[in-house]
Amino acid sequence: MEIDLNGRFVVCVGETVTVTVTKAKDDYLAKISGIIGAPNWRTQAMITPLSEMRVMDVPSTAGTAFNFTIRFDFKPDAAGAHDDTDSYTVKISGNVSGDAPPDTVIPPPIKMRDYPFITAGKQ
Amino acid sequence: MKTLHRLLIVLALCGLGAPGQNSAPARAPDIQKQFEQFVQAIELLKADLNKAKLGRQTAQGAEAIAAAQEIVRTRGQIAWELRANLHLLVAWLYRPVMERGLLSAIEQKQLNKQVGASGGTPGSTSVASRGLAPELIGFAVENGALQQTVTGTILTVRGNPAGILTALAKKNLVSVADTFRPNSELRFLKRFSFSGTFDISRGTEKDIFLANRDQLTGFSARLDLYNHRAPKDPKWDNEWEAVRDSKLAVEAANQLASLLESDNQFKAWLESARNAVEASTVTSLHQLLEQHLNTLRDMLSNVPAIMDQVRIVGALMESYASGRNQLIDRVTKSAIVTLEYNNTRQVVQANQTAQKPPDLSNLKLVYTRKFPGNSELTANLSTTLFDYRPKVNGARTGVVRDAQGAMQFDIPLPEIQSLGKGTLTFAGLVLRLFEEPLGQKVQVNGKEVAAKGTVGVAQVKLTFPVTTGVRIPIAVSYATRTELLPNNSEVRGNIGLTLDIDKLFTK
Repeated sequence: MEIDLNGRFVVCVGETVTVTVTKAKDDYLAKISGIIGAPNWRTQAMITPLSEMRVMDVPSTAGTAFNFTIRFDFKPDAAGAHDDTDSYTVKISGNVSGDAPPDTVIPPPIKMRDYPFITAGKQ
Repeated sequence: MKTLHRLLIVLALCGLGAPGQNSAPARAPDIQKQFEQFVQAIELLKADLNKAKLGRQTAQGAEAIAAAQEIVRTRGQIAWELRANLHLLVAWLYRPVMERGLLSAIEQKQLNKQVGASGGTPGSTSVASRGLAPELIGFAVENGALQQTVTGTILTVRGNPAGILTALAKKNLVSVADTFRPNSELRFLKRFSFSGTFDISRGTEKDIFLANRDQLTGFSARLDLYNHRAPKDPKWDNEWEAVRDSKLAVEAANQLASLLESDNQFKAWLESARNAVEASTVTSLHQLLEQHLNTLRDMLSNVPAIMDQVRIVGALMESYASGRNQLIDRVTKSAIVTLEYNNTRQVVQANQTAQKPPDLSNLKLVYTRKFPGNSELTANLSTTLFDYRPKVNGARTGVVRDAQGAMQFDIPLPEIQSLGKGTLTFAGLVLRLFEEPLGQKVQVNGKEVAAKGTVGVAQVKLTFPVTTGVRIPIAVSYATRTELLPNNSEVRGNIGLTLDIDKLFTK
C-alpha cells in the first residue's frame, strides 16, 4: 500500500481493508473511531484480548478521501511508570493494495493518531 | 528547545484561545516526550530518505527503480507522520493537556512504603507502621535518637520473595508487574514480604554491617490481606474498560482530521513542512519542526471551523484524561489491610547475670487509606507476646506483654524551595502494658516504659526528601506518662535518615 505526498494511504476502489491493532503487553486500551468519508466498519472484533481487528469496504468512487483515528493509552504500573518496551502495532492491509508500513506507538500516553486514506482510480 | 519550553509553558498556563473548561493541570514533560518521539520518527524517515537518494545515484536497473520507489514511499511516510499525531497538533493549537501526569509521580509521592524499622523498634522515628512493603528490596538505616537511651544504628532489610525472584531474572520493576499480571501464583507470592533488622552497633566489629546472627535484632513477615493499589490489578479491569470505551474524544479528533484533510491551508502547510524536512541539511530537526508547527498554529488560527473543532477535541481530551486520572487516584488511594509478624531477638546485656529473657512476638494489623489531597490514614492494632512464660519472683508471667493501638495521618506538603516536597505527619498511640517488660524495654519514642498500665503518645513529624529515595524525618513527640520524668509528660525530638532503593531503581 502506497502513501501519497499528502500522507494518505492509497487504496483501490472497492477493495477490502483490514486494520489490526495489537498491544505488546497487558492491557489493551486503544479506541478506534468510526470512519468519516466512507461506510463505517463492516466488522469489528477483539480477536485476542490484546488484538482488535476491523474490516472496511473502500468506496467505489476514485478520489474519495476518508479517515479514522485511534486513541492509544497505556496503564501505568504500581510505581506510576510506563513500560518503554510496551507498544501498539497497527497493521493496515488491503486485499488489492497490499500492506502499509506497520505503525508502532509507544508510551507515554495519551496519543491520537490519524489514518487518512484516498482511493486511487484503479481496481 | 527554548522555544519549545516557552511554548509548552505558555500553552500550559494560558491555552491558545482556549475556553475556560475545568481541566487537569498541564503536563509539559509528557508532551515534550511525545514531541521528542515525533521528531525522532521524522529524523529516522529523513535518514531513510537520504539513504534511498544516495542509492538511486549509484544504482542501476532494478536497484535504481527500487531506490526510486523507496524515495516515494519515504516521502509519503514523512507526510503522514507530520499529520498523523493529532495529540501533538491539538497540543500546539489548544494546550498541552493530554494527561495530568500523575502516573510518573506516584512512586515519588507514595507515602505508604515503610522503609524504616517498624513502629516501636528502638531507633525508629515512626509511631505507626504502614502497609505495602517495597516490591523489590527496600532497606533503611535509621539513626533513631539524639539521647543515649536509644543507642545503636538500626538497619532494616526488607524484601518481597516474588520481586526478588523476578529481579534475579534480570527484569526491572515494570517487567515484574507484567510477570505477575497473568500469573496467579506469583501474584499470590507478591503479597508476602519480609524484613530483617540489624543493629550494626552489636557484634565484634561495631558500626560495620556484618548481617550476622549477632547483629540480627529481629525479623518480620508481612502479608497483604487486601491490596489493590496497582493500576494493573485485575480488580480495576472493568473501570479501565469503561475509560477505554469512551469515544467522544477520538470521534472528535477524527472529525478534526477530516476537516484538516479538506483545508487547503493545511495541505499547503503539509507540503511546505515535508519539503523543508527533505531539504534540510541538519541532523536534528527539532527547530525546523517547531517552526512549522508554529506556522501551522498561525495559519489555522484564522480558520474558525478548525479552531472550534480544536477546542472541542482539546476539551474532550482533557475530559478523557481527567476520567482516567480519577481512576488512577482511586486505585492509588484504595485501602490496604496488612498483617505483620515481628520477632525480636532478646539478648543478655553485658552487665546482666540473669537468664536470657524470652524473645518477643508482635502481631500487627495495619489499615491504610488515602484521602483527598493525597493525605493518608494509617491505623494499627498490635499485641506483643512473650515466646515463653518465664518465672519472675517465683511466679510465671502472662503471655501477653502489651497491646497497642496507633493511628497516623500523613499530609503531603507543597514544594518548598531547596527542600522539596515534604510530608507532615500526625500520629497517636495508646499502649496498655499487661506485664513488666523482660529484657528489651517497651519503647515509646525511645523512652522506656517499665511499669504496668496505660500510656498515650502523640507525635508530629516532618519528612523532607534529600534526594531521590533519601528522606530525613524530624519528629516531635508528646507522651502522657513516663517514669523518667517527674511531671509524667515529655516532649522529645528524633531525627533520622531513610533510603528506599525502589525509587533509585525507577529513576
